[in-house]
Amino acid sequence: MIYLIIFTFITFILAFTLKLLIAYFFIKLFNKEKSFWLIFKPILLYELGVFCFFIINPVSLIYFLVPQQIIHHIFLFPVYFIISIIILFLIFKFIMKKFSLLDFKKALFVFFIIFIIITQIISFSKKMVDYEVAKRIPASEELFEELLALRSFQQESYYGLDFSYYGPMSPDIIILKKVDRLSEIFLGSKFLTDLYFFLYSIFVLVY
Amino acid sequence: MEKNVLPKKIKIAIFLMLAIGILAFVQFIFMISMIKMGLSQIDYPQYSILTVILKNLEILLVAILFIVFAYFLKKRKKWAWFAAMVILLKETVAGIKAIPLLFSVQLPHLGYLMEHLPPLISIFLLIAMIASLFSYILVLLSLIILISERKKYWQIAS
Repeated sequence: MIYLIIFTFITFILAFTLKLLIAYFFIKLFNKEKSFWLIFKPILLYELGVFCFFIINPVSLIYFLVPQQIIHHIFLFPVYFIISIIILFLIFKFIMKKFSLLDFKKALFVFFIIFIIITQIISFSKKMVDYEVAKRIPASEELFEELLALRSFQQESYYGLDFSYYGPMSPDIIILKKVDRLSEIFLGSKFLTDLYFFLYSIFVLVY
Repeated sequence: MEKNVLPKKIKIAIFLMLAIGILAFVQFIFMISMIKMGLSQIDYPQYSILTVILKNLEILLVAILFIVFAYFLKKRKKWAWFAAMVILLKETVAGIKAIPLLFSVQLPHLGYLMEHLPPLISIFLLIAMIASLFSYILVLLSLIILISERKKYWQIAS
């Protein structure tokens, strides 16, 4: 199992590097005279900003307004999704303007292409590679069983408290979940699920 | 004001951050002991100590980061101020999100849990709850101080 964890981590590093390089070459298209570091530094700063944003996660406070009501989550999710994307774009635009790399229209174009489309393709490819490798590891059957057990356990409660935190979990799963969290932050691996839920919420609201 | 002397309020904020770090570390120790002992009392699968530590890694990481950032704030590093803001804001947001859970689930069941759990674990649970509430107040205080004193700190920071 340790090999699967190392492999997942390596694919994450490779995917993230690929994303940074594609972003670099894309921004370089509009700034041919700028040096490598002058373009790469803002990209790294943006990633740092994204990391801080997801660590603090201030937009999730909107759920504080109406906690523990699923129907309200459907109403609030589009707001959460749109505000998050706007804030991420504002971070990107602010950094690009600070380093005089891209104006508003170009920043919007690059943000949409790189961080919404290309990152998703990279993230999806990473997931597929991880899944194909995980399938070939004999021990992964136990891992999947444990994940299923965890999912069913999360719906139970004990003394009225949510004890999902104490659900059955091996150290391997915990580490895999932490690597997965990194993928969520830096590769937006949850974006497609979020987008699906966003469209679903809009559909529910309209009809 | 002398150039190299830290303002008194900043010193208080640094001390508070150090206190939060130590409190979080104490909380980490209590959580591990509580889970290890608590689960042995009920019919539930036991964890290895590695699993318990990994599950509570975030608390340990927060404890270490608070102490490290407090040290670099004392060393007048500008980046330490931003890093401290990120971690303080993260804790503030997490605290606000925990309020509904505290009032709707945790507090109403506290009496029941205290009655049914073994005395030592009940005391641990109570200490852990009081420590987290106390550290949350300290987080808010140091956040307010660091924001209000930012200009003075940036003048002396490098």
